[in-house]
Amino acid sequence: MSMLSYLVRRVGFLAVTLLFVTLITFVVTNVLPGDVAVLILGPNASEASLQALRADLGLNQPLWVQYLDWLWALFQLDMGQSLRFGEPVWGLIMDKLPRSLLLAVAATAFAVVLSLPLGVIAAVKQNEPADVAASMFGFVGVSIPIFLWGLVFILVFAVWLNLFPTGGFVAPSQAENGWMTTIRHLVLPATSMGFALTAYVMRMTRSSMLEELGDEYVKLARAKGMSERVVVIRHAFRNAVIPVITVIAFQFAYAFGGIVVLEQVFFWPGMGKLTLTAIQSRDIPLLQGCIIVVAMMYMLSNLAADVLYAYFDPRIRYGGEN
Amino acid sequence: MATDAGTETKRADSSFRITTAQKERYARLWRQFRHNTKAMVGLAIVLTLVVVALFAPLIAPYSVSETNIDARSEAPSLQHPFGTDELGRDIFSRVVLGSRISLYVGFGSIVGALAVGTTVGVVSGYAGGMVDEVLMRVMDAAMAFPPILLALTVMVVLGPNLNNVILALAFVYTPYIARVGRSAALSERNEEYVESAVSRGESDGYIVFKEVLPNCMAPLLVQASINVAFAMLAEASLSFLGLGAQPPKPSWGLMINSGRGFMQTAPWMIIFPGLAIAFAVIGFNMLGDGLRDVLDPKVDTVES
Amino acid sequence: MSRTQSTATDVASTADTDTPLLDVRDLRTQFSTDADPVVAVNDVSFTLSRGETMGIVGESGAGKSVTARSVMGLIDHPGEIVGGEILFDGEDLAAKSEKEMQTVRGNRIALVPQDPMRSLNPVLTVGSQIVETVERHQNVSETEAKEIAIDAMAETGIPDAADRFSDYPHEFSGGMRQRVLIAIGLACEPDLIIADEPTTALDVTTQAKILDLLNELQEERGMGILMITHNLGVVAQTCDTVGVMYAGNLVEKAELEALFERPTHPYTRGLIDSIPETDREYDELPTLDGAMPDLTELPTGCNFAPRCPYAEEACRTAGDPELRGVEGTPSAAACIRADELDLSEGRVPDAAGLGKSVDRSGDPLLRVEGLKKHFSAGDGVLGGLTLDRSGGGFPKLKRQSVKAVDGVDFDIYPGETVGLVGESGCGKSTVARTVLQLLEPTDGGVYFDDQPLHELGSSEIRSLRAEMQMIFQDPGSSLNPRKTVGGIIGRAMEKHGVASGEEKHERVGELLERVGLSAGAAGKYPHEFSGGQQQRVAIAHALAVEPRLIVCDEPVSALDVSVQAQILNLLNEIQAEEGIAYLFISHNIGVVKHICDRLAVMYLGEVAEFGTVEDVFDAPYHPYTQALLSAVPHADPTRRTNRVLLEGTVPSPIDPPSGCSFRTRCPKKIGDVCEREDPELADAGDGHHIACHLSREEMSEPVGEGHAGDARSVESGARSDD
Repeated sequence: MSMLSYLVRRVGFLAVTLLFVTLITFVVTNVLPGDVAVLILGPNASEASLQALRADLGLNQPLWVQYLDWLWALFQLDMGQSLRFGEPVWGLIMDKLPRSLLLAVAATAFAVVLSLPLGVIAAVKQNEPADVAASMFGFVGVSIPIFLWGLVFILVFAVWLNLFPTGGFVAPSQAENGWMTTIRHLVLPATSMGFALTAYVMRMTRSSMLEELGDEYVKLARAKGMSERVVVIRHAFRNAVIPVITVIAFQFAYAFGGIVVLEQVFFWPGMGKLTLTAIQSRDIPLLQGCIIVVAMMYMLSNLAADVLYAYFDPRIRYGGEN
Repeated sequence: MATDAGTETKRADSSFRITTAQKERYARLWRQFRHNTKAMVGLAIVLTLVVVALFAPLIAPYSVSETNIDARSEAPSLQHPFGTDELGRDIFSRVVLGSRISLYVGFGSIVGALAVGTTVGVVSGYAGGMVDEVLMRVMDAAMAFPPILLALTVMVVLGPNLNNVILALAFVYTPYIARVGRSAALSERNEEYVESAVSRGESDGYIVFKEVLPNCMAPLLVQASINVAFAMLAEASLSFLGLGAQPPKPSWGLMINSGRGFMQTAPWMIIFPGLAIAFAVIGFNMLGDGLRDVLDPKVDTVES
Repeated sequence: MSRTQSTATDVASTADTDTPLLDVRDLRTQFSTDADPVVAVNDVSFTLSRGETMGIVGESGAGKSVTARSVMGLIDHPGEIVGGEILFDGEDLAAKSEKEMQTVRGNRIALVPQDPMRSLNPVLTVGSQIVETVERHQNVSETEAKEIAIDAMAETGIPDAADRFSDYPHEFSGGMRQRVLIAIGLACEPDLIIADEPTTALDVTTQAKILDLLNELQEERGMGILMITHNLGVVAQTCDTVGVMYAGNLVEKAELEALFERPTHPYTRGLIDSIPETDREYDELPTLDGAMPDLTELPTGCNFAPRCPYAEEACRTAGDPELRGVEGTPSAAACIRADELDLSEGRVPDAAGLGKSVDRSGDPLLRVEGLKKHFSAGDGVLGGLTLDRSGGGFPKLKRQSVKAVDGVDFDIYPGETVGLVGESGCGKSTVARTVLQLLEPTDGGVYFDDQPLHELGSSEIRSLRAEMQMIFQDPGSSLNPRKTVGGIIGRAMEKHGVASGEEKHERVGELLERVGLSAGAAGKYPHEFSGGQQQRVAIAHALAVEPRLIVCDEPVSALDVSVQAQILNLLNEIQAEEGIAYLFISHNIGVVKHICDRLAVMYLGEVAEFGTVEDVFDAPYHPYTQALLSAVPHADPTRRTNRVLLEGTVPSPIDPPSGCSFRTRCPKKIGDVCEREDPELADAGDGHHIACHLSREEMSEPVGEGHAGDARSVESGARSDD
């Protein structure tokens, strides 16, 4: 299997998955109780105007026709009008998405920087105090809800120590200090989410390292007289990191779930708050748009992982096993 | 596993022998489990939680809904070890009763996810081919939505109450269970005992449920106990956002949400429910991880 | 080859030439456990000189690999060397620190590991894996290191070494990877090479080439080789002296010829006898009872006493015997009766032979005609699709298939054993599974008792399953770990209405005794048995439904040689009593020769030759059969076969060669006709079928005479592609 075939295959999978994503989104949001026409025109609208609007929105059509119409529109990036804001959904999302991306990328980066070395150390010092400490740290990180991390950080670092702002988002272009201000606002939310993401990446790094360290080529590297540092980093880690890439991509996508809660805690005006607004005001087109865009983030990060995977693994880069 | 003895239970003499062999197997697993600190700490926490939840009304000194205007937002004291909230309710009592909600949601949703996910996963893994391909693409798509987001959306459909939280989380975690069941079945399918059963003339149904499934239980059990932890976290998050348990239910997430506004003046209103969540979730995570060490000896094996 | 000598080697060259290169004294290595420590190497002593190859032979668990790893100071936790000295060139390696050992390993002592598929780092180029060793131990520049690496690759017979320097391990075949591993070992010109089962993972024709390479390199370089192996044939082909290990002890030490002419330890004798040699004739193999004891529960007295046919009371009580010289021989043995026993003659089993003859006058039980099985290359719906850009223009999607079995014919008569032999990937296991309809054939027919299995529905097949059973390669995998042995066997009886209730239990017990276990085994789980015992359970399971045909897929290849002999004897006995026919799949030519009546040699999904064992093992041969037979290392140092070494690798079954599938490697290829026409599996009238364009006379000639082919004999120094 060449690199090209591999990527064609992955994109093929992605397309099929995306189709199911739209289907699930459509089904879930269309069994929502409540008449969209009533939602738009209000409870006092006349039956005739409701009928007219239903016909206009295509709500009289069979569900599958509605789905196909919706899908076709979606394909042209037309996600309809937001009921709450009266603006195109696509524009609303594109306005908020970069802010959430910033948060998710920062949180994931924080988690990776922390968890890769910890995972390697835990594997090398298997069952020793360092390993136990790392795994305890992981348990605590993954077991405390993100919003609690957030509240505690606000209490300690913002309220008590006054090191960082309690919340909000300032774009670099609007602040005096440019990016510095943005980053000061970013630190607390990104780290509180980062802790939750660390545990899993660390555990995968550890078990992947353990597996590689037990493999024959590592034994041969030792038999060649290589120093332990070379054995661990050059030989074992380079192989161990490959499956971890997938996990990191998954955690990045998981972060997009976390932002729904986290943006609420830190008053961060991004996708999470937008989604929550859509839910609270039953703004179905907006909710559909948000869900699909978030799912797209998951799939794109997965695709990125596949590409990286292929880049790091020569068995994929230069054709398969013989 | 109950199915071990399935074909033999009719016979008294042999079933005796089988129980002995089974006992030895469990004894061996228990010995390994006992020597695993992580697993034992996890088990201790989970057992504590279960006991607290069972006897909650006996342990709690006050009623969960008993307000006291004279004792609003009091700091922890002997009367109120965890302090009181803005309505003067005893936080300790509410945290104790809250364990019932957390466990109810945690176990309830995982039982649901296990029932559907195990069947889908194991059948999909064993069948392979087109069936597997389609089922797995659907599961992939379902997993493309972050769990909290999908649960929130389902909650909007169903309306916010506790039983709906269970339904939503069962729906959300089914693909995770299915994926584990599938990969377990996939690797079991390559074992020769499956071919041996086919060449003995067994039907597919018999092979899936009597031969393959019992061998897939270990990873499923591990995943289930970790997912209980996830579900408890998710319940807290949903309630925190106001889309889970509704006031005046003593849900830990809800308590933190209402305590948020008093964070600076009465931090105990978020600290104690927060500690309760962390305690419970750490327990299930450690139990799951310990179970993995014991039941899935792929990692950490030492050659001799 | 010019190269910079490391300082360490300079020291070595000045050392006293009388001291042996390696002098291991009372080495003791143990593994700590929760209970008592397990002694894996128990006071082992031996010496190895420069230019000498010493074999350490033994079955799994004997401690041979741990001995080798102890010498290198590479014992995994929780193992450690607790006693003895390892004098390497006069210096005690056991006393060296880890840092000091790192300068010895890979430099003066090199390891050639067992598994070529897993011993190379998949994400690093093979060149860089050699270079890093050179740079670590020699003070050279990067360019020099690269030159040294390319030289080493060329020297181990890797064609176009300079071009392949930057390739990744997965781009090499198994045999080529083993050459890379040898190149890594050679790169720093070590004084000692420890070869740990260097050919175990390879096919027999590749093994022949690697062993030749090692022999040749030693003649050139004069280093010492410590050869760890379970295979006495490999020992006989490569070693000068031999140590035999059993349960952590060195039980015999001898010169190669002496070991085979007159073994001095009963275990050595048993080991040699257990090997089904291709040139011996008997129905029953002389066997050793039981299996090697678990190191955690060793018997008191001599460890071998419970299995020893010569054991006396003193053997069981007098403690572990010391290794000492045996009177009248140059050998040493750890046996208190060694002086009085003369073990120069092999034991001959009591039975004068079962006198088996197969009646082929009636209808065959199983008939396989034109059987084909093609798999989609890759998995899943999108699997097997590749972009084909041949012919230019827009790339086209093409679905590829692996032609695992591509037209196979043979038959089996009642009570007969027919063997399918061939190297890995030849499709023999696929034939087994397709015959039993575990896989659906792509084309062709399978007739059991004249019923066309390939046309029957699944429920009809299921009821026919009682007639045809299967025994698998790995009994650890073929018995469901969650069911008791009694449950597994009983289920088969109930399923096919053979017996139920009380009767079933009696019969399960009888069957278990029949295969050499106790009736009480029924209540145990499979993991409580050893490999050989598990295979006995698997045989009982197959017998439970009273079948007429049993397909045995490599049933003994996961077993140690002494246990293998027991299982082969059991299969023969059962056949003699019940008249069951066997289809016997194996890669081991000695085993096939021993147990089969007729034999099909497979190559790349097709049958190259089919006939009685005598026909196949004698001229005329198919050229592939000829090469295969010549490659088998005989456990007899006096026999040197003129090996036919095959060029190149087995072609991909996705795109097999046109015409005769063997023509790309055939040393007797005659020309165009081989490329154009696929030769038919033709019967000469005597039931001996050969698929070859040559005449029978030509097929009888030795390779290399009368043909201008590319035949290479051992002496010509093969530089061929594996």
